Amino acid sequence: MRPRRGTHTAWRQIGDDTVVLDLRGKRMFGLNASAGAIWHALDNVESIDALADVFGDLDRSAIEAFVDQLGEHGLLAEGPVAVQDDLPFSEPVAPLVDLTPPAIIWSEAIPKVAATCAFLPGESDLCNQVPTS
Amino acid sequence: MQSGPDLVNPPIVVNDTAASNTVVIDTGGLTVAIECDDPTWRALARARWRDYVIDRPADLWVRYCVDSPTELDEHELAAARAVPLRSQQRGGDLELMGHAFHGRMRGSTVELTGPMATYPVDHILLFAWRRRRAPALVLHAAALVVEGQGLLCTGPSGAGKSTLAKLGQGLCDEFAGVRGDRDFELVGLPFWQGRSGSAPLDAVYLLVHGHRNERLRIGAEEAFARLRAQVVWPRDEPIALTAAFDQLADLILYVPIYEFRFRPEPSALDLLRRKVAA
Repeated sequence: MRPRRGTHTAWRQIGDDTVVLDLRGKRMFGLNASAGAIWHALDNVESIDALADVFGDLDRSAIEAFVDQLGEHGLLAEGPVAVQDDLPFSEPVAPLVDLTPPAIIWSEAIPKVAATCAFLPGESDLCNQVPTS
Repeated sequence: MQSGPDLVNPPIVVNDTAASNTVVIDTGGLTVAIECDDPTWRALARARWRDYVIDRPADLWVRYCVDSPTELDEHELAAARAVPLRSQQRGGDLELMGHAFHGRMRGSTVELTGPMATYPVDHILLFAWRRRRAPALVLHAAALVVEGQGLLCTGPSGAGKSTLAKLGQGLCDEFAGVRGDRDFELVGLPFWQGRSGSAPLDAVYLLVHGHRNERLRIGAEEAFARLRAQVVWPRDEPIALTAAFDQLADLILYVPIYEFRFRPEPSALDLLRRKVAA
C-alpha cells in the first residue's frame, strides 16, 4: 500500500499541530506533532515500511494505525496508486522531538453560518440576538 | 495595502438622488451598485446602508426586484436571515437561493427577486465578499479602531463584542473583515450594525468577561481553536474555503493574539489604548 494525501485536502502548520482541511468532507482535523510529520512525509514514501524507516523512533503499529485513521476519515487518495520511480521532491523530514504516538487530536465540521447575525435566540452558539432593524 | 477612508468622517458622497434608482455602497473595498425600481425598497436600502454610500464605479451590480409589497415583521426577518444562502452552478450562471428569494449571478451582475426586505442583498454582499479574489476573511467579531490601529475583538455570544464596540465606537459589532496576507487590514462590514472604515490590524483579542482588565498572549494552537469557531467559512466554495483557511493560519502566524479579560467599563478601552501606544 502506498498512502497518499488526498488531493481534496489542504493543510497548515499551527504551532506544533498540523491542521488538515478536508474540502470534500468539509471538516478540519488537528494532528499532533508526530502525526503532522507523517502527514507531511506521506507523498514521499512508497510504503508503510518506508514510513516506518523514516520515523524509526515511532512504533510501527502506531504509524499503521494513524494511516488507517486517515483513510477512515477520507483524507487519503482513493484507489491504487502506481509506484513511481521519481517521487515528488519535498523537504527532508526533520527528526521528531515529541515521540507521542501519532494521532488525530480533534476534528470539527466546517459550520454553516447565516449571512447576518439574526439567528433566533438560542439556536446558534455564535449569536443569540434578535435584530433590531 | 490600501488605505481606508477617514475613520471619523468618512468621505461619503450620496448619489442616491430622487431621480436615481441605484445606490452604490462600499463594503470594505468591494463596491456594489444596488438597483431597484421600487421606491419603498430603496428607502429601506438607504436606511440600511446609509453609512456605506459612495460615489465610485461598482465592482458588482445587484438588481433587486420586489415580488411582494408587504414588509416582514421582526420575527419573520429573523427567521429569513437565519437561512444560509445556497448556490448552484447552472451553465455560466450561479443560481442563488435563500429564504423567500432567489436569483442568478453572471459575471459581476446579480439579478435578485425577493420580498420587501434588504436581507437578501445582505446575503449577496457577504457571499460576494467571501468570494473575492483578494484574501478576505469574515469573522463574527467587533472591529475597533484605537489610536489609528485596528483591533479585532471576537468571542462567542455574550463575550462582550457589542459592549466593547460601544465603548470604543467600533466600526462594527458583529461581522468584521480582514484583508491582506502579512500586513492585515481590518475593515468594517455592513452587516448588522456597522459603519464604513478600515485600519491596519494591530492585534486580535479573544474576549472574556473578567473582574479586572488584563490581556494574556495565547499560543497558536489555542488561538486557532478559538478563532476558527468565529470565522464565517465559505463552506461551499472550495477555492474561497482554502483561501480563508490559509488566511486564518497567516493571521495566527503574523498577528499577536491575546485573551482579553475585561470589565465592561471605559477602563478596558484605556488599557487597549495604552497597549497600542506602547
